[in-house]
Amino acid sequence: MTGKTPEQNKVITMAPMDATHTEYAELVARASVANHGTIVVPEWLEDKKPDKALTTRRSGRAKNGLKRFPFVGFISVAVLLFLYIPMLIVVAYSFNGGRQALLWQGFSLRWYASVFHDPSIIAATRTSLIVAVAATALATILSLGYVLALDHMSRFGSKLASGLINASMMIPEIVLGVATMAFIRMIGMAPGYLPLILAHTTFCIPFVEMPIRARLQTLDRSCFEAAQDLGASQLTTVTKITLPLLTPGIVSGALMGFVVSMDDYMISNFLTTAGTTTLPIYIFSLIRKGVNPSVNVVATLLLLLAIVVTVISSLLTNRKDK
Amino acid sequence: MASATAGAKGAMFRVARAVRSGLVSAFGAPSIVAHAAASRKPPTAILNATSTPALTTATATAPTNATVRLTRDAAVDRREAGLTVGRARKTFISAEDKEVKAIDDVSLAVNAGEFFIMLGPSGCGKTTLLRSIAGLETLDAGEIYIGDQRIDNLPPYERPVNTVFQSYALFPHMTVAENIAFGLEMEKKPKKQIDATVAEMLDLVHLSEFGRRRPSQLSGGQQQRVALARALAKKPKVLLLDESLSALDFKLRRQMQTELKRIQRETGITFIFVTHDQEEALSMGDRIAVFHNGRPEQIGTPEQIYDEPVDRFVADFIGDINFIDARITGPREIETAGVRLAVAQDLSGFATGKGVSAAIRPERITLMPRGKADGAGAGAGAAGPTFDGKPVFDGTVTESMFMGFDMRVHVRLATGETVMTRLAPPFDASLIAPGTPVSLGVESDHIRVVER
Amino acid sequence: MTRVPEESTIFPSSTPSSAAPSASTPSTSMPRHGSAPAPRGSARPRRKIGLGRKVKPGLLHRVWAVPSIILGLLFTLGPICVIVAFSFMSRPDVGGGVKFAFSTEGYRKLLFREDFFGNSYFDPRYLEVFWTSLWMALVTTAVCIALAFPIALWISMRTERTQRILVLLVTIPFWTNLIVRTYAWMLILNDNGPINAFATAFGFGTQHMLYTTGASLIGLIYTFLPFAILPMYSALSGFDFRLAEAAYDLGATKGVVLRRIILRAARPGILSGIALCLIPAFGSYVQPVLLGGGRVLMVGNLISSQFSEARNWPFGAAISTVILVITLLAALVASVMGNRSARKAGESA
Repeated sequence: MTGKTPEQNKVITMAPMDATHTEYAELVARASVANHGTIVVPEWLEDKKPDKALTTRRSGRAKNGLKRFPFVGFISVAVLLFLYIPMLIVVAYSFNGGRQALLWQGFSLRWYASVFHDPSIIAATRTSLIVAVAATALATILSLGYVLALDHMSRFGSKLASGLINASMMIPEIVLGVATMAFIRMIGMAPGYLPLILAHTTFCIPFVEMPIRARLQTLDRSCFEAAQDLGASQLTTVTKITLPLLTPGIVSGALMGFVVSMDDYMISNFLTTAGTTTLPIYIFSLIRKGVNPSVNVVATLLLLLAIVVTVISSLLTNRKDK
Repeated sequence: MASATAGAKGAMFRVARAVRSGLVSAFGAPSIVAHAAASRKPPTAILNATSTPALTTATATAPTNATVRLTRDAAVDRREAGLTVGRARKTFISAEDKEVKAIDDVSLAVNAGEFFIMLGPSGCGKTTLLRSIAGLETLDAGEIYIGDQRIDNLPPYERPVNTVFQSYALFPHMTVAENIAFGLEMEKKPKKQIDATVAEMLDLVHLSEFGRRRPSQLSGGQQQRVALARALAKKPKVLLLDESLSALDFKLRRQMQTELKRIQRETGITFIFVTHDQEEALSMGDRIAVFHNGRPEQIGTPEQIYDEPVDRFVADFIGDINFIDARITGPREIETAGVRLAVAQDLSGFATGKGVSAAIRPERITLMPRGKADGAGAGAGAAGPTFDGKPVFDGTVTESMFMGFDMRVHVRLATGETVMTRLAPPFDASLIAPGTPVSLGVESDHIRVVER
Repeated sequence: MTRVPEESTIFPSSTPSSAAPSASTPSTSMPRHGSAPAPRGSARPRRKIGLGRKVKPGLLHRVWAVPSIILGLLFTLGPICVIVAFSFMSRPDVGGGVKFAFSTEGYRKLLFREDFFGNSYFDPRYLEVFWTSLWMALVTTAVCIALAFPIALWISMRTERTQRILVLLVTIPFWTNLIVRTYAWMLILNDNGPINAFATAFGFGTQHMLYTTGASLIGLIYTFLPFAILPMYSALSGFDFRLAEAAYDLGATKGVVLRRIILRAARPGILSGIALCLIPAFGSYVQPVLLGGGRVLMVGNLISSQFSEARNWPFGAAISTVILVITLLAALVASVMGNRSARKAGESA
C-alpha cells in the first residue's frame, strides 16, 4: 500500500439500495457512508482466490443419477460381451478332446500337445519370432534416435519427418503390401528375411515411437540440465539419465512393435518365399480350407500374447514416476 | 537548534554506516567495474556500493553518464573477485517475433565467499543470467570469469559451477546417495572417496539416514536439501540457487534460509541466490543486486538497498514505501506537501524545479496528534511546522488496519495523497480512528528523492 | 493388424488426449498431444532454433532422426512411387511383372472392356466392386460408431479405476491378431458351430451363415469396434461433466443433454473413429476372403488377385493408385475438418 489515492485503489461503487437487508448489506451501507458512496477493496481481498467450486466431474459413484442414461449401460455390457465371447469360445474349443474342431468331446490338452509338436507351426512361429524380434529391435533403436532428435527440428522438418515415418499407418495394408513387393522387384532385392524385416521395421516404428515420445514429454527436462551441470557430457546424459528414465516407454513401445509385427499378414504375405512363412500366413492358409483344431490352440496362445502385452504396457504407462 | 541536532544525528548515523560498509568492502573488494553512479536517465547504471569506501556513504555520488567499464587491472581485479560478469548481453525472440533483451549489458562482480542475491520481479533477467553463469544458456556477448578463469566459453559440464534448481531436478531413478554421488562419478573419483564425500554431504544437510531412499519418498524440504548436497558434493567455486525456496511453505522456508546461511558460512563457497522475494533477499544476502528489465538497478548491502534506494523501482520493489509528490528547490532541498525541507541526499543530479517523488518508509514516519507540532519558523531553512526538529505534515486518518505486530494507518495529506504509516503497539486509540486529524513527522535523513 | 492412420491428421488437436494406439491407458494419464513441448522449469520466450549445433541437454542431435526418415522414405514412399509408376506401364506378354512401356491400359481396364473385336464399351463391374467395398465400409463404420458412442459414454462415467480396467478390456481385442479374431467368427458361424448347434436344438434347422456378405460384415464390425471405441472414449473422457450439470440446472432433459452437449463433445471422437474405420475397412482383405468366402469381389481381394492369379500388375497397380488417391483425399478432408473444429473450439474457449 503506497501513497495511492482512493481512485487508484480498486473502487466499487455500490448504491446501498442494491443490497437486501442482510448483515452484508449493513456492512455495505456503513462502508459506503464512510467512504462517500464508494467501497475500497483492499488488495488482499482482491487477490483472494475463489472458494473451491464443488467439482462433480468425477463424482466417483456412478450412482449420481445425472450420469445415468437410459440403455447405455445395457448396450455397453452387450458390446463388451460381443467383443469377448467369440474369443472365449475359441479358447473353449481349444481344449476340445475330439478330432474335429467343432464337435465337443470332452476336455483335453491333446491339441496343445499336437501344436507344440507340429513342425510347420513351429517353423512358422520361429520365422515370425525372428522377424518380430529383429524388427522390434531395429525399430526401437531408430525410434529412440528419432524421438530424441525431434526437439531440434524445425516445425516443417518435424512435420515432414512425422509424415514420412507415420505414412505406413495411413496407407491401406493391401496397397502397401503389393507396393512393397513391387518395390522389392524394382530394386532387385530378393524376397526373404531382409525385405521382410525391413518392411516390418518400417510399419513398427510409428507404434514404437508413440509411447517413447509420450514418456519423454512427462520427464522433467531440468533433470537433464542438472546432469550437465554436474559434469555429464551430452552422450553421458543421454545414456545415464534420459534412457533409464525413458525405459517404461521403451518397453511399452517395444511390446507394441512386437505384437504388430507378429500380427502382420498382408504385408508379409507379399514378401515371403517358401522359406519365410510367418505364423499368420501359415494360419491363414490353414483356415482358408476351413476350421482347424490346431488353429484353436494357436488362436488361444495369440490371445494370451495380446493380453500379456496389453497389461504390461498399461502397467508401465500408468505407473507414477519413479 | 533542532535542525542542528538533526544534522548531528544524521551525520553520526552516516559515519556509522560508512564504517560498517567500509568494513564489508575492505574484505576482497574489487576495484573493478561499475564506477557509474545512479543516473536519472536510462540506461540506469549500477551502483556498486563496495567500490571505494568513498562511495559507500549515504549520499549518492554525482551522477555521471559514465557507462560501465572494466578497469585497466582487470586481470588482477578478477583474480581477487569470486565471479565476474563483464558486459553480458542476451536477446530472445519472443513468440510474437519481438526482440526481448533478457540481459542488457550487465556487468557485476561477486566477491569470493559471499552470499550474493539477485533479486527482481519475474522476467527481469535474473534467472537468465544465473543460467548463463551455469552454462545452460549462452550469452550473445560478454564474458564471465571465475577468478582468473574465463568460463563463458565452456560447456556446463566443464565449469566449476553447480546449480540447485527450482524444481530440485533430482534423478528419480536413483537413490539419494546415488544422486549426490553423480557429480563425483562424473569426475571419475575413486569409489571410497565418493562414499566418504556422500556421507559428509548427507551429514551437512542433516539427512544421514536417508541415503537409500528415493526422491519420491522425500518431502519437499528434504528434496531441497538433497539437491543442495548434490550440488555441494563437487565443492564448486560458485553455487547457484534458482529460486530454490519458492516451492516450500512459509515455516520451512524460514528454516531453510537459516540452514543455507549456515552452510554457506561453514563451507565458505560463494553462493549466488536468485529470488523474487525481497524479504528473503534482505534477510539472507550479504549483497543484493536488484534487477529490472535485464539490468541490475542497484547493487548493495541490504541496508543500502533498503535505506538508500537508487531509483523509484528499487524503492518501490523493496518493502513498503510512500511516494509523495515533491519539487526540487535547491541542491539539498525539496518542497513537498507545502513544506520545504532539507534532505541529506545530494540532489545535484536533478534540475531545480523538477517534479520528483519523496520516498519515505512507513516506519520512519511518526504519527502524532495534531497540535503537538511547534509553531512555524522553528528551524533554519524549515518552512513549515516542526516537531523535535523533524518536518511535519498535517493530515487526516482515513483507515487503520490491524496487522498483529503493528497497525497500518493511512493518512490523507492536505494535498490529497495518502500516506501509510506503521504504529507499533501499544496503540493509541485516539490516533487511529478514521477522521482523526493528525500530524506526521519524518526525519529528513529518511527521505529519499527519486524520479516521479 | 489393420493400420491406424497417422494421429496428427486424424485426431484434431481438440482431442484432449492421445489417440487409439497408445490407448492402453485412459486419457487422464497421457500427456496432451498437439501442444509444443515447452521445456520445464523455464517460462521464457521460445528461442528460435538456429542452424547451430547446440544440442539440448539429454537429447540427441537432429542427425539421429535420419535413419528412421530414410527407412520411411525407402519402404513407404518408395513402394508408393513404384506402384504408381507401375500403374502406367503395360503387361508383359507372359507371366507377371511389368513391361517398361508407358500405357494407360491399367486405368482403362477399370472403366472399359474390350471385346474380342476390339470395341471398347463401358464396364461397370469394377466400379461395382468399389461400390460394394464402399458400402460395406460405410455400414461397418456406421454400426461401429453407433455402438461405440454408448459404450464410450458409459465407460467415461465410471470411477477412475473402473475406467482403467474397462479400457484395458477394450484394448485387448485391439491387439489380438486379426486373423485369429476373424477365425473366431468362422468357428461360430460355421454350419457345425455353436450357433447352429443351438439352432438345430431348437428346431430352426441349419443356418448357412458363413461365406456370406453378412458374415463378412459381422467380421468387419467385430474387427473395427475397438478402433471406434478408443478415440470416442478419448474425446469423452475429457468432457467436463459440469457442463452437463449446468444444462440440467437450466432445465434440460436427459435427451437434450445427450444430444446437444455430450454429442457435441464427442464430435472429435466421432470424426477420428470414422477415419480409423472407414479407410481400413474399405481396403480390407482378410474378412471378405475368410468370412465372405471370397465370393463377393471386393477391392482387397481384387487387388490381391491381380498380383497373384490374374497376373495383371498394371491393373492391380492402377486400382491401388486410385485407392491411394482416395485415402489421401480423405485424410486431407479429415485434417481440414479437424483444424476447423480445433479452431472453433479455440475461439469459443
